Amino acid sequence: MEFLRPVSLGEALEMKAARPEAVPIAGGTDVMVELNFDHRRPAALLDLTRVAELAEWSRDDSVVTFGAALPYTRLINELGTDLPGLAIASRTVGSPQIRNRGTVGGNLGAASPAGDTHPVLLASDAVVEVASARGTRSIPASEFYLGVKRNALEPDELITSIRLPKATGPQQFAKVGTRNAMVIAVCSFAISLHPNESRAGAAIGSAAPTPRRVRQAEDFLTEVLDWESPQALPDSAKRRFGELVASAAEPIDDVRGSAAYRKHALAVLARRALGWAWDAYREGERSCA
Amino acid sequence: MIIGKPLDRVDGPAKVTGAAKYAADQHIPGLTHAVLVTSAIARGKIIRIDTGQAARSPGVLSVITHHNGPRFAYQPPKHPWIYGQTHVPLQNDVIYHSGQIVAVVIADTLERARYAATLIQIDYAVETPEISVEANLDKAFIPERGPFNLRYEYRRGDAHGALATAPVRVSGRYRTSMQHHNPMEPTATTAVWDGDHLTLYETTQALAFTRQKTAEMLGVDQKQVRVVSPYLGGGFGAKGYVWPHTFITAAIARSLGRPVKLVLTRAQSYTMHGHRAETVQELSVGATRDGTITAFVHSAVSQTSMLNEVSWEEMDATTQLYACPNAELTRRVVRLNLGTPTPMRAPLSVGGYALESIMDELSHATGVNPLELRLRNYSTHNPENPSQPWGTGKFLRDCYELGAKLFDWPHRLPRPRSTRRDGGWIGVGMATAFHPTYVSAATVSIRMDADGKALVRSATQDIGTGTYTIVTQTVADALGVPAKSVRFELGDTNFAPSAPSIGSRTAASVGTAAHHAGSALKDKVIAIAVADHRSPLYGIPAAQVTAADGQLFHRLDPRRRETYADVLRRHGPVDSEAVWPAAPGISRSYGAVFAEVTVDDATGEVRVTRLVGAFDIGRVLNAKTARSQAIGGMIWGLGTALTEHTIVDEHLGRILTANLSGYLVPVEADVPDVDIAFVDKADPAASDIGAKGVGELASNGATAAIANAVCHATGRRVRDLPITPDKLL
Ligand SMILES: Cc1cc2nc3c(=O)[nH]c(=O)nc-3n(C[C@H](O)[C@H](O)[C@H](O)COP(=O)(O)OP(=O)(O)OC[C@H]3O[C@@H](n4cnc5c(N)ncnc54)[C@H](O)[C@@H]3O)c2cc1C
Repeated sequence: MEFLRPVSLGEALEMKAARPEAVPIAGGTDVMVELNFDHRRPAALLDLTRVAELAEWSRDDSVVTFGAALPYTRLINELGTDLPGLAIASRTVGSPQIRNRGTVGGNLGAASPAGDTHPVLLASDAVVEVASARGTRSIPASEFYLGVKRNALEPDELITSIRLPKATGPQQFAKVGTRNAMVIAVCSFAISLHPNESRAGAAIGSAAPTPRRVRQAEDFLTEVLDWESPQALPDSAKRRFGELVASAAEPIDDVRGSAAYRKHALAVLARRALGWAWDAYREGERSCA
Repeated sequence: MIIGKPLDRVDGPAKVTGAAKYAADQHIPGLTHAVLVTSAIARGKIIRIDTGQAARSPGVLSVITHHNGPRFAYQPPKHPWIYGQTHVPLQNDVIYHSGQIVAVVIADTLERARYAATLIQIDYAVETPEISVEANLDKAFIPERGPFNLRYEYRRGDAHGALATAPVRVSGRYRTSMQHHNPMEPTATTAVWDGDHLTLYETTQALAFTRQKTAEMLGVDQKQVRVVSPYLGGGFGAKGYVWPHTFITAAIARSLGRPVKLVLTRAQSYTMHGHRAETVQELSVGATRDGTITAFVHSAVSQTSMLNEVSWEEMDATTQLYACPNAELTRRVVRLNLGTPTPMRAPLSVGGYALESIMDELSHATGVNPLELRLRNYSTHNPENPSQPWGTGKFLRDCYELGAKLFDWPHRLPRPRSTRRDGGWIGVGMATAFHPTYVSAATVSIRMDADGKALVRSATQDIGTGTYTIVTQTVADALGVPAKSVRFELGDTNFAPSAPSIGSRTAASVGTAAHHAGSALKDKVIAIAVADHRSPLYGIPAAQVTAADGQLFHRLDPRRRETYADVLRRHGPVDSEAVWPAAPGISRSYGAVFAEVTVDDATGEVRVTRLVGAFDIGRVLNAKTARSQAIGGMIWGLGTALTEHTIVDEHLGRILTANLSGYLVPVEADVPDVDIAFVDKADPAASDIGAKGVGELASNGATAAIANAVCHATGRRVRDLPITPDKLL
């Protein structure tokens, strides 16, 4: 096996163009597991850890852009205030060791339906920036996940960065696991309130072949939420929201949980996360007023 | 006195610096590497096995299948005794379970062996495997007792009659799951032949078993086999008996004429050395209205394998823990296309879970506080033999008292499903912990050199529990020297034969032998000193001389003194040896465990928020290592209650959770602060040093205490472990 070690993005893209079968490796927390289990025997690995551009971030008034190879620990510490939903999700990934190595780029590259950052990226209108020697593309998160562990990357492309709006309202992420840490989600849910657009984004994970947005449930919120003079949400509305979220799921039975349990739990997570986010929004409005 | 003190582990520095060499760490010149290929089906036959490509792969020295597999001088008997299983792989084409060894590749490097193993092509004739206990209950049968004398049936009084007439009757059907040991250190064997002498670097809880059984299989004398195992990264039963991979590796090394190393992968550890059997248990209790128990009827079925009929899940707590005149216990097994079960952690704990759950159900039925109910049925004599008082063998009352106080156990329990906090239901539960502990022959030898330092040796094991440390403390006290003057070596059959580390017996057995060897050595040195006119102790009656801090002195005139080193410099080294016990023995350890949980009844998630254990383990030899064992045991109890479950594909018979991300051992975040208390009263009937077992005991109690707390929190009794969120909805 060849181990390619580019030191710049340009070099990395050239290598990828020359060897499209080379498997990128960032934190390696997915790749090394696959190699250990012999699920995959690539002819070449393309090490991204020396490409400085991929571990940087920048922000302006409204948008944060961070490199695909920025480890979770740095994301939490350095961008947690601007991207609270992503920080909450990142804190639930694996253990400290995994968070020191693992990256959002890797989560996207693996495109597991259970990856913890996906629902947040979907709910927060993230855009995945990809590049190849041919040029660059911006892929909205909602168009990025194509199937179980399949994404929209072309063989010669790398994920370079993730761009998403700074939070303008409360964001929440919740997951159910069979233990308290080091656990693959049985199901997960994210919600981001976008008060400036008078709408909310919501998405589910580990409950369908791909992470997905729950549009009907989002539309329902557009109808019922009064952003100008926010009122306490009646339980019936939260419940209805939960039902709509669960109805968007197409879960399976597996060793982690049954399909029926996943649907049930998603409704609960959605109801609660909406309650927390909306209460936080009302709280914020009151203190501004 | 050093005994009892929380001395740091004497082997700690070697472990944390990497100086400690485990079984797989040996650097052996010319070493070759074995990789196992295992069956992809659970039942059927191999019809073709093509090893051509593998054999031609670079670095490959040998590819072994049932066609050219090693043939053995011996066949493990039907009751495998200390063999893990009767079946010896690689002898024919029959497949009994998924994960059975079907080929072995030996190469000059591990990587090349692993690669070549993937090139082997196998065609099978597949038959439908039996993998469900529930589906085969009608085929359950009572096995023969076998050489371990496992008890499958027991009766006293008229249990069914007493149950039928009891004013209060409670029955439950409890299920516990198949579980795996999962020690951190993978199982490993390195076989090195020198002529017709074999050295085995082995992960074993029992050097003597490995030596005896490997010699037997290979047709050599025990004296030709040396087993070395100075450190163990846990075993929990998986490394207790002798499993085929060990003697197969040794046989291959012999025919190859090269040393061979085998390290099992994590996935292979799920099919190579046993597991805790799944059980289905029906348990009924009869009582008077005030909760006085009149009858137990306990009937259990557990899984066993196609070639063995054995169930280690003894359920003697039902018949030995509480005073109760009528009791019946029946244990049966069903054969499945899964591996042979073996003891895991604490064989009695799954039966103990059912017993302590039904006690809780009885408490709900009678309205008697769970703690009070247990006190009302306290046994002061062995219920199986009423003329035998428990005496110093049972300080369970003290456990209840200590534990209840630490936990602040309520005299009046709030109604089930009546307490809420932070959006969850709160509940508390308790259970009694009970486990037999054993002693069997241990030999300890000591040599003291002219520098006054004692070298202690015994062919026993430290499975991570602290044997190195407690024996060091015991010998130091017996000799009257500081702990740093004592060095303990173990884990080598070249040393005097000693106790296996199974059945919670090492501390009491080896500790007592060490105590006697130390006392004998002290007596010898005193005898030398008082007979030596050059000694300040010359002429003093030996009984008047004692030792402390490395000094021998006159009890009545402590100024007359000299050091051990002074005596030995004149006289030369002194040796002693002691064997204890003369005959094997059994005693019982007790405890009381209390738990508090929070249950999110919308998602069904259970969080244990408090855990308290109070244990009667006889005399505590090291407060720190005992506490660590107790905490570890309780965390296992938590795992059994809430997370651990080996899942098998219902069609293919393959284990679906053969790794630590699928098989959920509790993580730090699942475990609250655990409070431990020990009664710390010596039990001279258990061992001369008053100690008995702790390891197995501590993983009893917590499972039922947590399950009972979940019921108290939610008002729902889940009788099917583990209590995963879906079961609470
Ligand atoms: C013990 C353990 C616990 C875990 N727990 C969790 C958890 O709780 N939640 C969770 O979501 N995940 C978990 N994971 C999975 C993993 O940590 C995450 O998916 C992580 O985000 C992967 O990031 P990485 O940088 O390590 O990816 P890598 O392993 O380096 O790569 C993953 C995939 O992405 C591709 N890739 C990486 N970077 C790029 C790029 N820039 N462009 C194109 N392709 C790229 C790789 O080729 C590969 O296919 C866990 C893993 C382990 C080993």
